[in-house]
Amino acid sequence: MVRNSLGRELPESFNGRQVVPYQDPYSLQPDCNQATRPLRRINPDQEKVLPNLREAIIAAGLKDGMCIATHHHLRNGDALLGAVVRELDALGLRDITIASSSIHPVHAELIPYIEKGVISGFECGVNGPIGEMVSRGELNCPIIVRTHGGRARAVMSGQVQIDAAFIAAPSCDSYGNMTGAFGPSACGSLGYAHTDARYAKKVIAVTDNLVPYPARSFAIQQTLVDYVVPVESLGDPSKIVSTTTRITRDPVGLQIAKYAAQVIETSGLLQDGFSFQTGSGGISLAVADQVRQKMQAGNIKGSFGCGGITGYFVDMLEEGLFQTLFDVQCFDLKAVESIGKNAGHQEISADMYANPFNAGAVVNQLDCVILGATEVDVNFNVNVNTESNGLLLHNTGGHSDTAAGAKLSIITAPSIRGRLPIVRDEVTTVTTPGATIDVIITERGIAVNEQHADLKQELQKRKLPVKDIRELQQEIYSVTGKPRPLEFTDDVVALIEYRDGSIIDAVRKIKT
Amino acid sequence: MSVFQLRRSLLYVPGNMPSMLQNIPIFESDGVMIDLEDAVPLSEKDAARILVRRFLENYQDRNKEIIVRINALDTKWGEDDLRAVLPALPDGIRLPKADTPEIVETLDTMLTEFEEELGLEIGRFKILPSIESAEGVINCIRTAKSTKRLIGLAFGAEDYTASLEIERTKKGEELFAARTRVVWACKAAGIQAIDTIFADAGDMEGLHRETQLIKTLGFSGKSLVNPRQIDVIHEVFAPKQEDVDYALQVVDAIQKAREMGTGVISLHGKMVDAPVVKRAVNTLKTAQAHGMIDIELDEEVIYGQE
Repeated sequence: MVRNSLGRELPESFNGRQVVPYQDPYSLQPDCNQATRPLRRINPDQEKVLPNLREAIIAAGLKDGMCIATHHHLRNGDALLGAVVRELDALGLRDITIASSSIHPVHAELIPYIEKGVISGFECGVNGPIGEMVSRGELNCPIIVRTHGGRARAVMSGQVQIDAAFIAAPSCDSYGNMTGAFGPSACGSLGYAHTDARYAKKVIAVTDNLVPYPARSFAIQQTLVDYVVPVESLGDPSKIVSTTTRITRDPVGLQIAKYAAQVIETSGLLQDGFSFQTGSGGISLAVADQVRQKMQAGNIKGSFGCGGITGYFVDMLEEGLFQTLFDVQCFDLKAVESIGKNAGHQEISADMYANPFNAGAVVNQLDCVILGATEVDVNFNVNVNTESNGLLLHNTGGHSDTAAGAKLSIITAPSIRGRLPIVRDEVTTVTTPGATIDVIITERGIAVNEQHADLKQELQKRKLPVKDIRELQQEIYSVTGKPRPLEFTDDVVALIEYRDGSIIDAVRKIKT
Repeated sequence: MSVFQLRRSLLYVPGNMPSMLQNIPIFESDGVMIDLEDAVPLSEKDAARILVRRFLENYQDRNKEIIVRINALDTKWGEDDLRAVLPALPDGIRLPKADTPEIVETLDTMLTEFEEELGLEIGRFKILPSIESAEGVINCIRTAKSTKRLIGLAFGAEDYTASLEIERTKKGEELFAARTRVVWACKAAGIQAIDTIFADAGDMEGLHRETQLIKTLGFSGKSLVNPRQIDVIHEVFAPKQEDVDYALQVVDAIQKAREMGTGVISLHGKMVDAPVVKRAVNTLKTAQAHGMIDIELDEEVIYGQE
């Protein structure tokens, strides 16, 4: 066992790989070149279109022990990963690693194939039942949870080698030029798949909308694509909608949003050139709404909005409040529609969005990000991966990437969730280090990280309810009481990788 | 309690809902009215009383005025409500169906008895009577002067329109005469007039319109049913910048006058005396609540020492 700088106990190695303990957010340097893959040659007489997934798996040369990837732009509507795994099983393949950009509850369909040995590990975070079962020890399948930027880094550095990337392509021509903007399964940006297309040994475009060559616009180009497979359907695009895309009506949520908007205003960042990211939850949208009103009132022209893009940000783009949207992923169908028609709505790769090991990602240019949390602790560390029951239920997304990049990273969360206090002595799992979190906002008060004494003073001057984080914790405890600590076994079932590849925490099997 | 207490927004919170009660500290209304009456089903009257008492006992750092709406005194719950909640020290009691001054006087006597029993200063518990029937409106001028405990009169339009057997409309023409009479009664007695609720929590424009109207009529605030309504009401009641500037000049002038040993002075050729000063101070306190100014008001200087 080793301890990282946050005092989290880690195994020395996991799933055959040496663990590098997390030290701090910014100093770890890359020490290798970019990954390579073999060059290939397609001659004029060669066709790329194959009749089905099975032929593509055979053509790609997939063997036992290899690694495949898909993207999660269809989120809980994705049917491709399940279809690929069923074919792998039918071909008798075993011990396959999944390095998709994320796993969703819909992928509970993979569970029998994990039990059967077809799938032996996940080089990516998981949302939903798989993580829950792994946490309970009901499934044996190591998981390495990564941020969006961290995944791009892992693929580009060769830490994760994808043997075959199956890219769901809502619109694709016979030579592999593809886009997510059009087609019956349109999902908008294909941001997470760009890295796969560049680094996977074989790239297979899978489409339910084969268009004549050349496709009128494309996000990923033919020179990167080996095969094209037409299928009946990629899934259900109506399930792209991630959580909620409506502004909360809950008075607690609205109060949090109001404080968040006041903090942003007080920070002095809300001026011409302002750049901003929020998630898609009801509170995030309420913050976006308040910021929008303040921008309108002050006639402020922002520079860009980024991240997962919602219809709300599209409205702000169309109203001229932002010049550009950098879109790595569309959160709703309005964003999908916009990416095909608004010139200022630009698709970007996860590498450009958030990779710490390139010559500068978009998150480095971000003024302010609004993030969520399942728990925070008195050192401002944030958990989004596990819940207070200790179960691994959520992927990290861009949480740690944007927190590290943005000038002002704000956590918004209700002070009490399911009768449990949100501010703990220690979070169950550290996802994002407190060193990169500036302000935590609950409806009962605003806690400012010590490194921002100026902001704290200014907020106090404006009579906002600024509280020391321990004071806030005590206030919440006075309502909820102090929860009993969870009990875990020593078995590590998952690692939480920080964006730079060091390990920030380990998830252990719960005691049942 | 200071001379002037802002009561722009008095938010109803159901007394039987822990999830709502626990959020009372975070709402930015000037006061809350914890309801033991209409919001609480008959089967939960006992439970709500205990819950409210426990909540108030634990709510030590009070950051707003706490009023409890008890059941009417002619019901079998009214007195028990008082017995349960008064030891937890609410600021006041909202008394439903205050149709006559005698009903308020009855409560006054009961509160005095409780204060004696609890060893509290007599007059500690305030009363906010609900004027919510034709009879209540007719008698409100006497009711407004029935006891020194009154912080104001609260008009209740839902029950009022029911007592008149008419529909309540969004425009509220049917309420005009009653509202005006309640305002007269309050102003004559030197207490605050609190308007009725606006029931449609989704209609912010309608709420804005109605609040504008009642502010013009002379009400100092409004009862409300949803926390989302607070901001709209505060926005309407926010003083205009020019009024704030003038009020600052008035206070400055009267302070100079006090130094010279007089209570009257002229400002821009107009006489500044006690009523003008009082209005100016009210404006400044409202402005302060809206974060428009940040000054210390020394009331001894402003009103003079006895």
